[in-house]
Amino acid sequence: MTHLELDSVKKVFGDPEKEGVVAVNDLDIDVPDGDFLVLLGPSGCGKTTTLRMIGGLEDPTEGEVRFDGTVVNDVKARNRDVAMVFQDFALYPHMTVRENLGFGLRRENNDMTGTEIDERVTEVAEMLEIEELLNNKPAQLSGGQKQRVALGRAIIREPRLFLFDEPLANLDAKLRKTMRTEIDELQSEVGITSAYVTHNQEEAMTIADKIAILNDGELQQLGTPDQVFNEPANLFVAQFVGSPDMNLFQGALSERGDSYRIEMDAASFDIPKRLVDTEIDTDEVLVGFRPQDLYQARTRATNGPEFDTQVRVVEPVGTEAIVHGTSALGDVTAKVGRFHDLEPEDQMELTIAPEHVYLFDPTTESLLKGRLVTERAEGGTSADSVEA
Amino acid sequence: MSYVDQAQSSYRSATRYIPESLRVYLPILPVMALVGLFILYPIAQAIYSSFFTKSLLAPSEAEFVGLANYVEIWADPDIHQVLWNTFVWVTVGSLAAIVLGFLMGWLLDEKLPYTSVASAIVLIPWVLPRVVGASIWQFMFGGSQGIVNELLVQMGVIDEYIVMLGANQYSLWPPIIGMVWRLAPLFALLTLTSLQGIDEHLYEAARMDGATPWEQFRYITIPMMKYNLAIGFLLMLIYNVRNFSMVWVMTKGGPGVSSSTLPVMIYRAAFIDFEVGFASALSVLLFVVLLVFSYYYIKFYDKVRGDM
Ligand SMILES: Nc1ncnc2c1ncn2[C@@H]1O[C@H](COP(=O)(O)OP(=O)(O)OP(=O)(O)O)[C@@H](O)[C@H]1O
Ligand SMILES: [Mg+2]
Repeated sequence: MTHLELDSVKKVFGDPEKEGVVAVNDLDIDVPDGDFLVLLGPSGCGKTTTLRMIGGLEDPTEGEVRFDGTVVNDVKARNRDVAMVFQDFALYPHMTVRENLGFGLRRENNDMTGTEIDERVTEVAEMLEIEELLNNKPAQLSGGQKQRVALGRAIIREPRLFLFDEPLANLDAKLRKTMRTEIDELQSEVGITSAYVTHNQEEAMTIADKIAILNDGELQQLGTPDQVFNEPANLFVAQFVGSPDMNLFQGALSERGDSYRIEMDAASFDIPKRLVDTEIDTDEVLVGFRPQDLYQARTRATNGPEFDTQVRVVEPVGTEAIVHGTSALGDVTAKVGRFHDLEPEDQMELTIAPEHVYLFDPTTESLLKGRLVTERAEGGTSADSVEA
Repeated sequence: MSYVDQAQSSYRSATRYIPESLRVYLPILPVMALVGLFILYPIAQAIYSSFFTKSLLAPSEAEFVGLANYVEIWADPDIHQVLWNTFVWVTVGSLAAIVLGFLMGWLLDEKLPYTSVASAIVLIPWVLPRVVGASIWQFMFGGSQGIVNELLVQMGVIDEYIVMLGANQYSLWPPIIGMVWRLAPLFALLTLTSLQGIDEHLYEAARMDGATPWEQFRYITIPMMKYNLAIGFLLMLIYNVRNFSMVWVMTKGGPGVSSSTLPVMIYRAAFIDFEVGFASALSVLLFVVLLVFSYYYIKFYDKVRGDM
């Protein structure tokens, strides 16, 4: 059980005096005991580097890594009592599954007897349903089975921390979902603080207690899945989180009594000031609509903008459909419920409630107004089912 | 009809009087002939000669003596010394070359700066012509100007220059040292490539599993390299058993037979004593030893390929 803190952590590869690569910059992250942190960000943003610094495989150039308040920068990886699941599994190819699982228990800083180790190996193998594979070598396993062994090798020790580096990246979509649930259940069962790297936002939203979104080595936001979805700190987070991508339009903003008036190319609407937490003093804004917040005006009236849209493509996704259309505002994407009757070329009128509209400062790209969660009479798309 | 079909049918018609079972060997006949001529024939000739007494001075007076040459080997007053020398030479030489080579390879594996330059330098002993390398060592160990003597005196190991190459009790060792110097680089390179073939993530996984550097070496490095090490060791054995130039250049196998190994004895028998039959019998003996080593070499090689 460990409270993990990263304090102003920086990692520069190469010669810091010359032009080293800044992989991670000034990172502050606090993960309370037992929490599941997900590090999310595009490729090359420093996720793996961060994880490796927590595990002790990489030394921070600056800053502190703390476990339960104790600085561990100088503690060697093998003494940190941290288990890591590598993206490519890194199973020991010359050992059987049984030996792979037991390896960590046989080390000198672990004084278990042979029988205790065997029992523990069997227990974990049963939990992961790999008992029949115990005598196989890794080369004889499928991707999903290797995955389980890698996972087993980590959980067998009950370490202070779990680190997962894109552990599901090599699996097919179905297995990924199953394994994701398994990791989630397992972690809440054993309650060990975990850090999990992914660049899949959907995975992050499902599994995380807290998400840390990184870009170019810098922390963009640290928050719960709801927070990063509804109140993204900036445009980057707003665009990275949520699927399909947020619709963005330019707009002009003016104050009108106790409302802000937003004027876009072909629509305008008012946002009551009580829905806005920040003091807005720009007259240009970026207006964001989440596809799942758009409705057909004929099914639901709002105080928000209404705009005509011609359907271009209808993409069914499970019980819903993603509609790409051309509107007076520009290209627009909307997510509609199951009982739609839309086809290409159809005309429809889309609308969005003012509380769901996002506003960003176009120069600093920081959030001016986020999405307020309200009871929805219909549609079935609330923030809780973002991943659907 | 494709060209392949055409070629097949014209091959069939051209060879129609040859039975099907033999016809399939026809295309590899040239290779078989070459192998036969250059490999099998000399071996057969050596075995055949070993049943005769035959002098190089009067080859036509060869006389069939059955196994007499082999009996003579057994009775030879020198043979025990020579076999023992060969055994020491092969085991000590190979082990030392492996330990040293492993160390060199391990150092080359990114623990030394300028790895590529260093690997090139390390290979020099292997690349030098054998006689040149052997001469260098002969010079270094040799009589009054030998640098080795000077070094030992400087280090206080000995008080005054001693005769090394010409003394019965020492003469075997300088050639072994020379041979280790020649073979270690080869093994260093083998070590280097197999070390570099080990996925860095395995070490990281082991570190996360709490393994100390020694445990990483013991449980990751060694097992991952064991086939390469075994094959390298067998290669060293084979090289060492066959070696002739290092001993010949440095000591001519002497004084007496104090530094003679089997190949040196064969050379002496054939080209100094001109006893071709006796030399052939010795060669057959060496051949059998090599065959045993080669058998294990091939078995290991198959196992490695099977594991991959
Ligand atoms: N050992 C290294 N030497 C030099 N640069 C490195 C090293 N490791 C990582 N980098 C650089 O640091 C940056 C962050 O790399 P990192 O591996 O942490 O990214 P990531 O977020 O894990 O990306 P991905 O999603 O592709 O795995 C990259 O620009 C990368 O090129
Ligand atoms: Mg990575």
